[in-house]
Amino acid sequence: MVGTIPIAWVLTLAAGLFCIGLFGALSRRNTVGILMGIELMLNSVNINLVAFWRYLRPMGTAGLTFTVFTIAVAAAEVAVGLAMVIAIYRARQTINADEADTLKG
Amino acid sequence: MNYVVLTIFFLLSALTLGSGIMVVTVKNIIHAALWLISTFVGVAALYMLMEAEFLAIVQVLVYAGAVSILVLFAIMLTRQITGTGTRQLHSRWWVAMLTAAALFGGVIVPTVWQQGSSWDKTASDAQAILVQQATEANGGTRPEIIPVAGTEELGAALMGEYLLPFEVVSLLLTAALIGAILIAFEERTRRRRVLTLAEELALRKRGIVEPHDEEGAVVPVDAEQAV
Amino acid sequence: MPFNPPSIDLTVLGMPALLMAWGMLVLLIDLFTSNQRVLATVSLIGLIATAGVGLLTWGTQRTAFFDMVVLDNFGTVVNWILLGATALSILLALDYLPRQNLMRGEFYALLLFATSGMLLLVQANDLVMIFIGVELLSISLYVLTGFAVPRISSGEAAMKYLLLGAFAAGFLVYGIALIYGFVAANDAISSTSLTAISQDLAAKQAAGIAINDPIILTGLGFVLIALGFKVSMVPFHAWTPDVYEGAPTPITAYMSVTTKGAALVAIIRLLTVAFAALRPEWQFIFAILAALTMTYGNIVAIAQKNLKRMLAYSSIAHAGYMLMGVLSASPLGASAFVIYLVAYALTNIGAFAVLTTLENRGMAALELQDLRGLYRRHPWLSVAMVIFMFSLAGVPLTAGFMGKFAVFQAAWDADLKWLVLVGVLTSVISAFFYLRVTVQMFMEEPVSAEAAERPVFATAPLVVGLTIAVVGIIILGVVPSQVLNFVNNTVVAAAR
Repeated sequence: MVGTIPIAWVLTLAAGLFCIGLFGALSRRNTVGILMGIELMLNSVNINLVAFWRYLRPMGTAGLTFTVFTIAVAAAEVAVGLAMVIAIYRARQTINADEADTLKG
Repeated sequence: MNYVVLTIFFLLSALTLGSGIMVVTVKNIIHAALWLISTFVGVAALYMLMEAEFLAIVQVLVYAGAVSILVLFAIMLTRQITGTGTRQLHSRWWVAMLTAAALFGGVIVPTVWQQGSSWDKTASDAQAILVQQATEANGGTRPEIIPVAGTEELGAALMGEYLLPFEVVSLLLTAALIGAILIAFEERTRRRRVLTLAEELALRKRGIVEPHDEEGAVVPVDAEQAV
Repeated sequence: MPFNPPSIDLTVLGMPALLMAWGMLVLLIDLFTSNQRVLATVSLIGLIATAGVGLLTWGTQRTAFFDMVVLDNFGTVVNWILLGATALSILLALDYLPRQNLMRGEFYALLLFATSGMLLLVQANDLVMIFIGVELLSISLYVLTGFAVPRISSGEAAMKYLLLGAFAAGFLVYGIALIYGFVAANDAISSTSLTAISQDLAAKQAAGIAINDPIILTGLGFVLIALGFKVSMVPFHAWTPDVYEGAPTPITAYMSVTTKGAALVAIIRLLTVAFAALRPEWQFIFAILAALTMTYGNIVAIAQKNLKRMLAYSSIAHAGYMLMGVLSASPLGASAFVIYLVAYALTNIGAFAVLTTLENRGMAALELQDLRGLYRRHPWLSVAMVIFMFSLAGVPLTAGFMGKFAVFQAAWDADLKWLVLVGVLTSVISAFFYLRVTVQMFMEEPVSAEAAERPVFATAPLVVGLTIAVVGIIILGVVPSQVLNFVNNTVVAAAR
């Protein structure tokens, strides 16, 4: 890998994925679609981190550990986000007590 | 030049970017989620190419395995609002397109290319040191595989230098877990439950509900109402 | 491969560590009792105990965990403010939650988790810790915003907050990755800690290499975009009104103060410790953004009819004033920021406390006209509200005046005189809509007979909270010199 492919190519690939994700997050109307765009953005960052680690600091671990943290945080964020999607959907489906109160108040 | 690596890299780039574009553009949101899996696998293969095997496996397990399945579940549970017929993009999607293109072509790519050659020099120096160390450890001959920091070093770092963020991330996952359950579960107080005899009697006295229907089954009453 | 376990320095980590453990404890207690008075009391004790730890470790100044976190008096003082703001928010929530049928014990645990994330962010001395701290506080806050979730406005606010927060997180990690790439090329530097970055920049400067490299500027810019989202700095403020309106009112009060405070401290540390060498690059841009933030927040607030939205826009404007202290990048600026944060915390939480007392179950929105004739319904409450509004506007003899005076002075000293002018002008504009609230309470008749009869939920915990806020504002406004001296001494001592 090192010596064959210049680091700039890998970073350009990551930048491309980031901007594709950015486009998705900004242009989708659907909440799940926006979340998918954000996942692409976070993935591209991980490519960056791994590339920096492999090219510049192959014996260090800063890039690797940061990637692990990013993956964990992204997974947590997506879990909470999808829980909210489901909850909002359910709230829209059912007419519950609170909405009735809202009409009164 | 190692043409095998080069070919693999271009194929993987095409796979990753191509499926990425499909994720953000296809009409059917389920197809988008499936393309997302393909992107994740492409990224995992890139990690493999960059000799980060552990991360490649984590990527497949967490992203391609867990996250994408979660996304598919969410789509299926809310399918009326995520139908294929509705428009999926904003009417002003071209603004987003311009923003993303400007960020790509105007900011990130020039920045990265301008720094690229000096980084490549650092990289070849670092690689040379690695090769030299590996050769010495191997008794003078250059080994097939040049070792880089792997799972062992990563584990040691997570328990050593990065102990604090590691522990805090575990707290963060706990908070996310509690939060997801809290939000997605039906509210406890709102759950319909069968009344106890005493409550039923009290309600009948106040004449609020007729507790039995024709078949004699207990009619569930909102717990809230009973109070 | 030999493995050396790290030394655990609980002195430095004391405050966040205790609060995290306490959050877990609250979570455990929640299993056994659903009495939320118990949970709230335990949480309050935890906050006080954490503040006590700060007292014990007072004066220590060192980093720990491989430079990941730093303890200094500046951080401790900000931590105390954040803990105090959390305690006030708990007082607000205590009767609000059952009244709105939102009583679930996890509320307090999540609140403590969010606060511990903020304490970590305040003490963070490494890009990794900044990232993790921001995420811990954000994820807890997403959930807390959506706590009223069968109510659609709350769910949608939470969703919006999460989507924009995750979007900002993408920029944050991208920026950190670029900075890491820049630093990793230097063999002498082995981590992404703020001190290491400043050493790297100093080494490059000494070697005659230009340090205003596009890569580091892009990286820093991305990180600041993400932190700007948390501060709700213009142009990254778009989420603020909707989220503040949809969230449960005590949570709005909580996050309008604490998130801004913690994120601004992270910005201070980032700019003055790591990137001090790049000051000419960031200071001017930040000054323009601060001016925009103050102007935009105050002007748009005039047009608001909904009280929570009005306070949301006013909070955007106040972020701009606090930024003035931050971008002065001097000990004076840092202490001005601390004073402003204290004043703003007391005032804003107090104002939201008044809204909490007026909010009925199932009320859709609290409009400006709902305040009409409040003086007759509850004179003391309206007097308190007047004090809060005066303090937000920066009328002399209130804490808000002291805060504004301090940040203006700091900016003047940093030779940003035009910014001071913008600040003074926008304060005058802001007085208009703050005074309008006062006028509504005292001079106008209620909209309807029904509105005149609406109950006011000024329960005991709320009255305690309101009293603390009012007394604090008056003390800070009338006899500010002791507080000023204390803050100046600690912050000047802490300044590196």
